[in-house]
Amino acid sequence: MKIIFISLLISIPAFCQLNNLHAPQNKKLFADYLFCEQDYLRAAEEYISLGETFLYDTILYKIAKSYSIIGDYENSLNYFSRIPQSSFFYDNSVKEIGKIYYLNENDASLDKLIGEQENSFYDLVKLKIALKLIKNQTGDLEEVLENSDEDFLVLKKFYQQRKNPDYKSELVAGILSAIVPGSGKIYTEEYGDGVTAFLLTGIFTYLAYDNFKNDHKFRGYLFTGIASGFYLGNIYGSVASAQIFNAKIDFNFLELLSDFLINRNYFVKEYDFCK
Amino acid sequence: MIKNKFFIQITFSFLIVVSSVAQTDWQRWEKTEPNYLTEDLNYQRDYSYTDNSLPYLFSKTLINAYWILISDVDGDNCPFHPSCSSFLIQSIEETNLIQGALMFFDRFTRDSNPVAREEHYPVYKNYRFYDPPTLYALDKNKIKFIPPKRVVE
Amino acid sequence: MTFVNKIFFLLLFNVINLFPQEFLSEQIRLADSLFTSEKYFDAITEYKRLLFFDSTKQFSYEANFKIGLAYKEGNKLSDSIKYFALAEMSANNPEQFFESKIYQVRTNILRRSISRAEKILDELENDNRFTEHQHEIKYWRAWNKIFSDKWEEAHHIFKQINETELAELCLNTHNKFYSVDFAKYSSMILPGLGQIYTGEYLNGFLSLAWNIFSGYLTINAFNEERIFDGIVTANLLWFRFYRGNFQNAEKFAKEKNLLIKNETLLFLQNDFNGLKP
Repeated sequence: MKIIFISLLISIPAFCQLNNLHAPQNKKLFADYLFCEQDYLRAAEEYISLGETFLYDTILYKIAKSYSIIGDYENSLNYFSRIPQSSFFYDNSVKEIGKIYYLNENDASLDKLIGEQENSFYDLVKLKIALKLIKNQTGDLEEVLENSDEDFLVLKKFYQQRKNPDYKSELVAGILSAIVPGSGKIYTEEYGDGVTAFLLTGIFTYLAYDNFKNDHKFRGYLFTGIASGFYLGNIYGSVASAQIFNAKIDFNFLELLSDFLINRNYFVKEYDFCK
Repeated sequence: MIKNKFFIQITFSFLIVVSSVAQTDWQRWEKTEPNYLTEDLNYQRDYSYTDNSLPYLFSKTLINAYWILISDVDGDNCPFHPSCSSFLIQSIEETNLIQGALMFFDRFTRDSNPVAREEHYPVYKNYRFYDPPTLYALDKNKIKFIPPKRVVE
Repeated sequence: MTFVNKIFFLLLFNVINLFPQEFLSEQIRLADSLFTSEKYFDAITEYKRLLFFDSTKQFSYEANFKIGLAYKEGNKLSDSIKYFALAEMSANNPEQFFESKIYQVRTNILRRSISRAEKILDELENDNRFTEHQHEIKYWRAWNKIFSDKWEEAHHIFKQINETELAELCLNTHNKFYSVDFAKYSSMILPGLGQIYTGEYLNGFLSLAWNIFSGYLTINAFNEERIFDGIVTANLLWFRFYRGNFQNAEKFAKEKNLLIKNETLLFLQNDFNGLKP
């Protein structure tokens, strides 16, 4: 009986505090809820409003993660870097920082981050390779890729693709179109445009020829002008088309690389705080 | 390893599904007045002169005359944005008279080819195929590849 | 459970229930003050906090409804509708239910999800709990007609419920519209007529001139039995200008109508003082 009353007595002030909606414990509860509802900005601000003394590693990690998901990388970096080395979250927060540097294409900071780590962080190195591939700086990648990890194998394939892309030559496209109108476009896989160019040049050349034959001088010159316009325009267009084809190759390469990284979640581990 | 991948996939699909709901509040916002107006998607012609070079003035005058006398009268014939005549004038602005003319002949070829346009061009917001002169100026830095069917603002 | 235990839990229960009441009321005052000072984002945070701690759900309707209003003020219409629907689910009486439904209608109108608004209005109209709210239901139905471009219908509904200012505005707007069909078909009969009807004189006369010229060329070619030339001019010139002619007439009429419509809508948005979505 006594024990009960004592516990009740103690519990009253405890409840008082618990029930104040803005007491730290309640703020934390609410912030956890917001985090799990994916209301990340509110969650981060709620955690921060707890005050410095409450910001232990889990909360720092969740704040940083929230900002990272929102895309506020500056704040995210700030909070990730505050997680102490002794923390359970330290390794992963370093990777999260690496991910942000990667997404901002900031290779200097990524290099610095790798340099600061005691053990060489393979996952960060992977991000570095990917970044080099994006920027097409394939010079010194060969030896870094000598690892048998599954991801390195994939990255190696990307590297080889980047080094020997399936480009079409602008020169070949131009020369082909100069020989047979439209063939340069067919070479760059613009089949419809190639055939159209051939037909247009052909028709106007025939019209020019026919009019000269029938002694219609003016029409002859007019159609000659148009025909040569199409002829030269097609040579020009074939070169441009090769450039666009190559831009498409680059674009697809970057898409695939980015898909791969998203699929691997930038080598960052995800924790489920909302079970 | 397999378990790990599976886990990531689940969290990701979850993120994608729910985040589409929560994104409104990922940035602070203020009171905003509602907009009752309907947007006009029609393309308005620009008859003004923006340059002083002689080839530009000459060709722009020709094109303005063409627009008023012919193009505005003969209906909606160009499936592209910018339209063929705008493409010509923009090409000349972008490069020079001769290169612009070559680009125009090349554009006319694309215009005459009715096959598989949907598979080939991104779409401008007024439902035209987007085909800007910057792609054809032979300047690799200006080429910004946009995949087919994507809507360009 | 022993007797002592029972008393213990009873007391505990009292304590838990006693304190929240005060805190929750305080919380809603805080949220409301943020709302009235137009800090809508923060107001939503506080209403959400209230909802989170309100275990007995006594403030559920009020908080959800206010969140809906706050999102509406920020023009975040889909979120707004979602919270009005949540308010609807936690409504304690028919009045609250009606209120949340009407706000769903208003937000749907602003979001241009016209058919959704119409459907909710139908539901409310057929609900015999709300027979004395018919005026309000009709009012919003008319607004919905405005946003679905049915100005004449809007006029009739406003007239029925004696909203004369709005009724007249809708009628005036409706009367100012050009007839798209007339523009199109008149141009088919006489090229240029539709353009002239919409006030595009230069374009209309040029159209007429081109059609006469290309028609003359075509007929002339056939007369002189140059069949090939005739077919080519008919296809490449005459047909092109003829088709362009009535396409233009239709386009001009639509463009002018859009301007007329937007002028009225702009007035409604900025200068109309009555209740609006």
